[in-house]
Amino acid sequence: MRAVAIVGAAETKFGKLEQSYRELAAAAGRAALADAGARPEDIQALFLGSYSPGTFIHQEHVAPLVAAELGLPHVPATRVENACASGGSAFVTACLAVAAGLYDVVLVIGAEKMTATSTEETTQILAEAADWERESAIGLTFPGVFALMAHAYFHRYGYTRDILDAVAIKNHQNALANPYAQFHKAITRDDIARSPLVADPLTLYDCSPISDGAAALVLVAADAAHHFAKPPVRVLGFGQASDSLALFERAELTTLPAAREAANRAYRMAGVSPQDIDVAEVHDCFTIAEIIATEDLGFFAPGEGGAAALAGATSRDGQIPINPSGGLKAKGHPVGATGVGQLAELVFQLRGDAGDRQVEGAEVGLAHNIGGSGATCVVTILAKGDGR
Amino acid sequence: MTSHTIQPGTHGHVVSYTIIRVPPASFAAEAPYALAIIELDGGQRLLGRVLNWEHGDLAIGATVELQGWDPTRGPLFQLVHS
Repeated sequence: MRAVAIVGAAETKFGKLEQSYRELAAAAGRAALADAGARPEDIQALFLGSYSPGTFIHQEHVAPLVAAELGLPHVPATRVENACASGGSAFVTACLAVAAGLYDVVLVIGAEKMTATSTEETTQILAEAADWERESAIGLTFPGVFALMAHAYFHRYGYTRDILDAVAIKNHQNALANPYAQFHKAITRDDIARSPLVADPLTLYDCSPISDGAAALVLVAADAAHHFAKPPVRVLGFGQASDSLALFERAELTTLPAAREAANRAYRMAGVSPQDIDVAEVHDCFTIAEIIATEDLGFFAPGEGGAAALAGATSRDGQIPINPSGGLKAKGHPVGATGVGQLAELVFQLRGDAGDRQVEGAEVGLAHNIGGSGATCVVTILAKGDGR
Repeated sequence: MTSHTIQPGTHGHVVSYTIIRVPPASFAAEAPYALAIIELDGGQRLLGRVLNWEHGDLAIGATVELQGWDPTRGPLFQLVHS
């Protein structure tokens, strides 16, 4: 298997945006090509992560649509769908193609347009990524799924919602320094206490927003990385795992077993351990998910993630900086774009290009991208430099 | 899982629960409503509605009884006060 590197990364701003799906995906793709100093004719294949454009904007078959918009001449163009892990899964698929030696230069894009539908419709479309027959059809929403995890976590380890407050406040604070973020608004415990409940115990401030946006990466064979403009970032390892869609079919509610599996596979492939990670972007679709992620990834023991969040161990200058971008919570969550956007943020961090949100001295970064309540989990580990 | 074969009257306990206050479009008229993961006596787990949550003590470990099955709402439970 050949080593793979990332030589270009870009994101659009996330939020409620004027641009269409096509415009957003193409803008991210063009910006990633420009970042790499690559031309459209250099690209040999496109992998596009997108969850549900057919229901959000009545457009399926989006991969060739975006390839044509970018002027990629007759490249193979394929959409990858794994709910909110569509971006991470598209990245893994692209890595496999480059590692296998099939292509030397490929483009990965993640994109979603979610604000053209009403909040009720969007809630329903998202719920289709849970087990329709056994969960969604009888009234369970995604905030409800993670609320079930939150109550189980509180009960098992003796916490209250102040651990969730700590995550929301930190991620909103981090997003202040991220020009791509949907929210630039610091929040307080009082703001959270006054916010409406969505699914007990989760309030509005525990939930990631509905967003439009896109992100893109240029992936190359590592031995060709020096032909491009920017210093390369190596793909050290990746792992993907699956689980039941329905939460109740799992033995435990306070961990995502597939995230543990994906992390173990990524750490083994990369030859690193949790202690080697300098910065992580994790899938905080809801605040409780960030706490559980920090345990599933091995940064903290089971039950200690809540205390670590309260103690500030996950802040930008903490023991393990989590979501310096603001995370899904405050940067925004255009679902198909999220997994690619996390990796773009890591590329900026590892190149030292992250501006006011830079984690000093970051050399190894990890991304954790989940679909549904963890039925798909993708963990990726990147490192600064080309390894030569 | 052939859940519909479980007899009404079967007891179980709450593994976790939530109150849905922002519902999907199809249940817009019914919120707020309680959903819980129930472990039935015998070990089988399922997701269902807890009907009398506003008047009972809905908590992890609480005892419930299966009332029946609704074609759109799925399994319906009542909190049992001991």
